[in-house]
Amino acid sequence: MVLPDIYNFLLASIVESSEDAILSMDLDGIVTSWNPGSEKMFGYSSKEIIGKSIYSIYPTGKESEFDEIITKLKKNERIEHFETERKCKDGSIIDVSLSISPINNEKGDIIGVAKIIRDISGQKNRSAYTRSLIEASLDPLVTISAKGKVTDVNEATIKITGVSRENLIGSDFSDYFTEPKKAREGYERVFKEGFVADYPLSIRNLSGQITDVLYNASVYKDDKGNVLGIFAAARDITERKKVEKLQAEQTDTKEKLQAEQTDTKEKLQAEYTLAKEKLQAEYTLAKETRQAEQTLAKETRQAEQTLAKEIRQAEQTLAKEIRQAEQTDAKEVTEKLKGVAKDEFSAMITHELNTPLVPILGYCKMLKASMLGKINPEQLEALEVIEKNTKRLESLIADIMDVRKLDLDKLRFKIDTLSLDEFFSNLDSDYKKILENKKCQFTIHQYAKNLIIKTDKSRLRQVFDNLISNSIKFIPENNGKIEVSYAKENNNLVFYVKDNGIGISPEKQKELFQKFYQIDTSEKRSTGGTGLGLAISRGIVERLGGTISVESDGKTGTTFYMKFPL
Amino acid sequence: MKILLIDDNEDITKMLHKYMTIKGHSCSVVNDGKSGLDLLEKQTFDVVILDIAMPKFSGSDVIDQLCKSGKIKNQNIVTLTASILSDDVESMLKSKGVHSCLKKPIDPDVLLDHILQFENKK
Repeated sequence: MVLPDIYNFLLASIVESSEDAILSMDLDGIVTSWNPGSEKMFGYSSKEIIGKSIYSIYPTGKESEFDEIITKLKKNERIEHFETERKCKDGSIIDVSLSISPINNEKGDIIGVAKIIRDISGQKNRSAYTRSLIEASLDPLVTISAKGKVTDVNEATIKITGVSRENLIGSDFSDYFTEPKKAREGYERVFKEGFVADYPLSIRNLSGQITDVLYNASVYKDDKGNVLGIFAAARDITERKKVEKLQAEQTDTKEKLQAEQTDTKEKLQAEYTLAKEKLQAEYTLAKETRQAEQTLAKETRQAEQTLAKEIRQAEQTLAKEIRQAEQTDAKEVTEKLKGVAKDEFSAMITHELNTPLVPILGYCKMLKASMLGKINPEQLEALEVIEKNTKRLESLIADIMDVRKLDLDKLRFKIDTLSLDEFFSNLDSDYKKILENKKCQFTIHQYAKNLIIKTDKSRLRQVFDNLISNSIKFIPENNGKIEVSYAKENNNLVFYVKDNGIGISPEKQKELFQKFYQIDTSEKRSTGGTGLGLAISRGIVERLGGTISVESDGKTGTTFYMKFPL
Repeated sequence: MKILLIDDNEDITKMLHKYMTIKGHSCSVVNDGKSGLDLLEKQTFDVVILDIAMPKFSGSDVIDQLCKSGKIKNQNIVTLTASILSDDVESMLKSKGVHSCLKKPIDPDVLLDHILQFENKK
């Protein structure tokens, strides 16, 4: 029986060294064995407790447990290990886990009970610790049954729902959310899949306040793996949302800013591009304009050159034609001249009279200038008479030629600008000298100043010369008066030459401007004249666009008026 | 100045010849246009004083010949006219290259002034 000895020895060794309390008793509850673990756990030494009742370690009210164990053992029922409380020697109660097995004799009859007791106060404490941790958690935690009922909650859940623990437990989990259906789907998914992560829900507080949460939940099982329920933890994401919102806003703002920057950049680029294009367009335009201008200038130059060339050619052609025409004309003129000489005695005379005057006047000049030898005063006087009369003859011939020209409409006018102030200033100084010797008062009345007109200066002067020389013939020898005046009247330029001579009767005034008319005054006859002066004057005035008229009472003085439209 | 005077009126040519000579100028005289042209073929003159109204070969004919030969371009010419239609004749003559057209009766001083203009231009 070596083996049983060894077995007993080993068994005794295990029992002795075990931390658990291993003890045995008989069916009456009298302790039969007590290992060191028991002594350590309960404070009783084996000497103190062996032979004594096991009730020593039963707390008050737990004594019936022993009878129940014995009853079960006698019925051969297996007793599962269970937890209960036991009392120590110092009176303290400890949580224990019991494993009970019967002690049988060789016949198989139960003669006693063996118990292994484990102190589970530590485990209990851990549980309490866990509980306190759960309670202390800021996250609302909840357990849910398979039917969706709340089985446990922590303080955070109470706080967030505003519902008491008593009311929460046993109520529907989904009642506390804004979207009960979604909440239901959530825990159903946990039951189906074992867990959910960051499942978003919104908890509605009793007061109506909404809290956004994310649920992390998983099933919890018993030792055998049976699902008992769901453990769900919610995370309040209000702050996070705020932060996210803030971040989103920041992002928004940032994006907005970036967008604005991009916008501004694009706008600037667009503006730059536009400005650039505009500049380029302007440059191109300017360039094209320049080119066009250059082309135009070139074409204009060419056109001008061509035109100038054509004008030159035309001028040359015209000049040629004019020359040819004039040659023809000249011949015609010569023919006409011959005709004129034949037909018109006066024309012949004027032409032929001029030629003899040339040597007469030429020699007079030379003699007077002593070019042909020194002459004495008597000779000089004779020469002056010859010259004076020759000049008179010359002027008569000139008058006759003018009249002929007027008749033939061949009198030429050189129209130019004329300052009347200058014109009459010259007239004044010229006649002042001549009339000084004749004791005649010569006055010019200037009623308009700074007048510039367009006329033939020498022909106008010719008219004044005619009129003034006429007046000179008829004024008294002493106390003669001649007034010349010019004025602006109703857009007309008016001249008059007034004298205090013998006057002209109205009848004679009618014939006055006719050719070869002579006022018959025997005493004044000596002054002579061709009677052409007034006819020529009227012809000139009319061809210059004016009119001439005379006023006189036939007794005291005569006034000649000339009127030119301005 | 070397002057050629062409005029059919001998009184005028004598007077002007005298005048010009006294004034210190060389003055050749011919009394018709043809003779004037002949002389112009042989000699050069600073100025030609040309009467237009001459019988047979007139001053106009002289001008035409000078135009044809092209000599008119290089010849200073003063014409003398006594025509009643001298204005027309004057413009015709000037178009052909005549420089001065004087009307009879002429003042020798005035004629000389015109001639001296060419001296200044030389």
